[in-house]
Amino acid sequence: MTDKNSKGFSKAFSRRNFLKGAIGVGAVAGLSSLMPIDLGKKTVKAGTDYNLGYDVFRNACPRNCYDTCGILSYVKDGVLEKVDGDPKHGFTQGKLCVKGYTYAHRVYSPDRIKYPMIQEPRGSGNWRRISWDKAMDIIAKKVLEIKEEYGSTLPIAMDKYSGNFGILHYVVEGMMSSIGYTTRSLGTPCWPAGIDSQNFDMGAIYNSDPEDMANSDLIIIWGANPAWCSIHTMPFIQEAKENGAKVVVIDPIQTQTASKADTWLQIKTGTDGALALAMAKYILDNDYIDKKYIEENVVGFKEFADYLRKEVSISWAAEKTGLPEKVIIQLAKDYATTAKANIWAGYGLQRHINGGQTVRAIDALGAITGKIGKPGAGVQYAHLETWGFNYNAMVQSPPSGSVGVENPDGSMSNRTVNINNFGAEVLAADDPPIKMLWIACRNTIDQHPDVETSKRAFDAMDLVVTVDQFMNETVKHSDIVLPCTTLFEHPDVNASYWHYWVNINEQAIDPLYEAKSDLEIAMALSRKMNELEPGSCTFPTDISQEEWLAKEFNDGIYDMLGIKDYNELRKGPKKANLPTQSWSDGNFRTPSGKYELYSKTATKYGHPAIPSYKKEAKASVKYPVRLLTPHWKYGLHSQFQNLDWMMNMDSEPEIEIHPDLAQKKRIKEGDLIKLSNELGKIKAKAKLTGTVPKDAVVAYEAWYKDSNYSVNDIVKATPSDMGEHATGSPGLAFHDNFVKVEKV
Amino acid sequence: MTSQFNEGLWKRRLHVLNKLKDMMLSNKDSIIHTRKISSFLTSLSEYDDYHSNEFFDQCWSLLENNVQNNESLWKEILFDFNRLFVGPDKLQAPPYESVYRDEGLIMGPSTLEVRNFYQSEGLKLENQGKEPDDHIGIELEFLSYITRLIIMSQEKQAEEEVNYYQELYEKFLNEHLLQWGLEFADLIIDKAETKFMKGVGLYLKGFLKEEELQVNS
Ligand code: SF4
Repeated sequence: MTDKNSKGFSKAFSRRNFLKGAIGVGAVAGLSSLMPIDLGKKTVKAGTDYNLGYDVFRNACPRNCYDTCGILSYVKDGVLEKVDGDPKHGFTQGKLCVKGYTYAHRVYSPDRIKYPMIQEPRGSGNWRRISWDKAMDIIAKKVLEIKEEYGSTLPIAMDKYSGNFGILHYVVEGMMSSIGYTTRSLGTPCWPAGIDSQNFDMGAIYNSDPEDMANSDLIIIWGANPAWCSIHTMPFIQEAKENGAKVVVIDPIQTQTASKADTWLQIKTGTDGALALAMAKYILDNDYIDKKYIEENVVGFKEFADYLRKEVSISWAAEKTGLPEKVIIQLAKDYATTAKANIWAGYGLQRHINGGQTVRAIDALGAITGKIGKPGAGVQYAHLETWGFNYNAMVQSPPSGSVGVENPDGSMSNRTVNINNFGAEVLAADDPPIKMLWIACRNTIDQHPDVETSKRAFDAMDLVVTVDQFMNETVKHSDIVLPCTTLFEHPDVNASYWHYWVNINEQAIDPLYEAKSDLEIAMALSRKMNELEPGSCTFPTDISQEEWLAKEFNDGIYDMLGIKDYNELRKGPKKANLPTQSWSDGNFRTPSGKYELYSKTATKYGHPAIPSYKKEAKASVKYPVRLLTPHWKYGLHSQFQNLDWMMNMDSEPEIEIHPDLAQKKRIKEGDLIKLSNELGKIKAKAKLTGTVPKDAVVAYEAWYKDSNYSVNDIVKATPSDMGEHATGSPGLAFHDNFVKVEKV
Repeated sequence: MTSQFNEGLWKRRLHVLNKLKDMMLSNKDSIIHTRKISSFLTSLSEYDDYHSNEFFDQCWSLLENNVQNNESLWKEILFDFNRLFVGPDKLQAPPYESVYRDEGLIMGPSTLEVRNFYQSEGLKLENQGKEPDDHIGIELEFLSYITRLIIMSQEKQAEEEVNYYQELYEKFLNEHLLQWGLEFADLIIDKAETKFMKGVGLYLKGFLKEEELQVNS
C-alpha cells in the first residue's frame, strides 16, 4: 500500500475505517479544528468532483454607482471563483466595470475584517478578539446605561450612508429605531442640490430611461463623467453617435468622456448656470420656445422670461463662463433646433454653492423648448421610481414609553444632525450630549469633509461601534469593529437611481470567518438587549434573511416588474414597466401639477421663485487655487481602491496640475507637492496634465490603503445652496474648495 | 525519511508540531491565548529535544530572558499576534498558504488542494467554507495528526500504515507547508514587534529548516 498511485480516496477511507477501530480514536482526540467526516453521509463532494459545473447565482452591485450592475457569481466547492456581468440585465448587458470584476478579490482579501474585535484603547492599534456574544453584551449594556443615565437613547448617534444601497441594508435605521429614539445623520452629501432643483421644478427626481439616449440626436453631458462613473450608459451614447448624434460635454476638466465627445466645452468651474441662462435667453430672443408646451405644462414662464430679459445677456455669460459668445449661441441653437436633444445633468455640476440654481436653469431649457417627456430628449438627473419597497426592515417602532425629541403635537421623534457637518454637530449636541456612535455602510472619518473635526467628535464618545469589511480611518478610531458580509454572503434586492431594472441579490457563499450582515447584527443586538432587559428592543429576532427579503415586496413593485413573486427575479433582472420618457403624461408632482418655473416651494427655503443666477464661489488671495475632488475610476468613495489589483495599477495618490500652473510654482512631474488651507494639508506627487483647468488642481476622492492620505483633510463642509427640502440637509459644495499649492 | 523508523524523532516532532499549532490556533480567546503564550514560553527550554539549528538558537537567546509571568507582556504579545495574523488591520504575516501561492488571496486553488488532503484522510475543517483550510495552524494540526497516526501505527506494528503515513507526511510537507512556510516565518521574524513573536517566527523557521533537511536527505 505504499504505492502512491494506489492512494485513492476510497482506499484512504477504508484505511481510516480500519484505523478507527485500531488506533484512530486516540489520534482523532488530538484534533481541535479538523474533525472526522461523518462517513454515514456522502460528504466527499467538495474538491473531488472538481469538473462538475459551477453553481451560478444572481447578484447586484450595491455600490453608490449609476449602474447597479447585474452580476452572475460562479461558485464551486463553496468558493466564489469568478464574477461576470449578467447578460439578462438589459442595461448593464453582461459587463461589469473594472471595480466590479475585482469582487472575488474583495471577498477573499486576506485583509478583510474577520472577527469582532475591541481596541484597547481606542486609536492605539491594539486589538483583541471578542466573541459576538461579548461584543453584543458590551454594546447592549452601554445602550441600557445611556438610557438609564439620560432617560432616552438620544445620546446614541448613527451615521450610515451609501456603502451598500441594498434595500435590506436600511435595517440599520430599523435597528436604531427598535431601541428607542436616537440621533441620526440626516441628508446625503453628494447630490441634494440637484434633487431639490428637480423637486421644485417637476415635483420629483425622475429621469427618463437612460436607454432612450440611444434615440437622441444631440446629447449634452453636463458635469458628468460616464466613461469612468457610468460605463454602461456609454454604449447607448455610442449607439446614438453611430446614428449620427452629436455629443457635447461641458466640464472644466477634459474627462475621458470629454475626450470621446464631438465637442468639449471647458467652462469656468461653477458658472454653468450662467451658460444655461444665456442659452435660455437666446432661445427666448430668437423665438425657439415651444409656446404650446409652455401653455399647457408650465407655470411661471412670464416671470422667467422677464428675469432673462432683465438680468441675462450672452456677453455676460461669455465673461462668466470663459466660453466665446458664438460657442454659447451655437450650443443654444443646436439644442433648440434639435427635437431629440437630451441633457444629462451630472452630480459634479451641482456640488457648488450655486449648484441647485444651476440645475434649475438647465431644467428650464428642457421646459421652455418643450423637450421634457419627449423621446430622446428631457433633462436627466436621477430617479427613485423603482424604489417603492416596503422598507419593512427599516420601519420599526421604538419600545413603548421611549423618549425622543418632542414634536409640537406631543409625538416623539429622532434627533438629527446634518450629515454634511457631522463632526461639528455631534460635538455641539447637548441636552443630551452624544455619547455613542454606530457607524455602518460608511467611512465616516474619511468621507466627511473636515477630517480633524470628525476625529475630535469620535474622541469625545464613550463608545464607537463600526461595522465594516476593511480597516480604514473610521475603524481606527473605533472601540469595537464588527465584520460584515459582502454582497455575496447575504440576500438582498437592489434598484438603481438611474436605469429601470431591479435585481435580486442571492446569497452565493457562506459568510467568511465570523462576518454577519447588518440584518443579522440587528437581530443579535435585539436578542442581547431583551436578554438583559426584556422589552428594551423591538427588533424581531427569529426571521430568516430570506423571509426578511420576501417582506420587502408589495403589489406595486410586482405590478411594476410584471411578476407575481419575488422568486421570479432569480431567473433574471426585471425592468420596470414605466413609460420610456419621464413626465410624458405631463402630470408633474409639483403643487400646481405643472412644471414650475415659478416655484413657491423654493421660496419657502429662501430661494428665488424662478431659476436665477447665484454668484459662483471664487478663490481668495490666500487660497488662490480651486481644489476639485471628483470620482476616481478605480475606486468608489473609499471602496475598491484598497484591493490588490487596484493597488497594483495605482498605488499612490497623485494631484493633477496644469503645466502652466506647475511652471509658475516650479513644480515638475513627480515632485511632492503640498495643498493646504484653514483645515490642514495633504501631500502627494504632482502629475502634470493639460486636462485640468489652469486655476485648479484635481485630487480624486479615493482612499488609499496604508497611507494617511485623505483629501477630505482639506475639504471644508461648505453647504451647497439646496437640498434641505427633499433630503433634510443641504448638499456639499465639494468643488468650491480652495487651497494654496506649494512644492514641498 | 521513510527508510527507517526513529520513534524518538517522531515523538519530538509531534511535540514541536503541537506546540506550534497550539500557538498559531490560539487566537480565539484572549484568556486561552495568554495561557498558551505562557506555556509556549515555559516549554521552550525543551527546544533542543528536537534538533538544534541556528534559528532555534536565536529563538532561545531572544526569549530566555523573556520567560516570565507578566500580564502586560502577554497583552503586548497578544496585540502583536493579532497585528501579524488576525487583524482587523492589514495582516503583517497572513497565515494562509494560498496568499503566498495564489494571487495573494485566500481560498485559492492551493486551499482546495489542502482540503483534498484532509478529505483523503477522512477529515474536514470544522468551519469549512468560512475559515480557509490552509491556515498555518490547521496545516500543522494535520501534520500533528498524521504524526500521531505514525507513532500509533508503529506501536501496533502496522508497518504498512507506518509507511503510508510517513509518505503522506512527507508529501504534505513538500507540496504544501514547505511551499510557503519559510516565507511566512521570515515575515513573522521581520514584522513582529515583540521578541516573543519574533521568537515564534524563528522557532517555526527552525522547525521547517529541520524538516526540509530531513525530507531531502
Ligand atoms: S461599480 Fe458600478 S459599474 Fe462597476 S460593477 Fe458596480 S454598479 Fe457596475
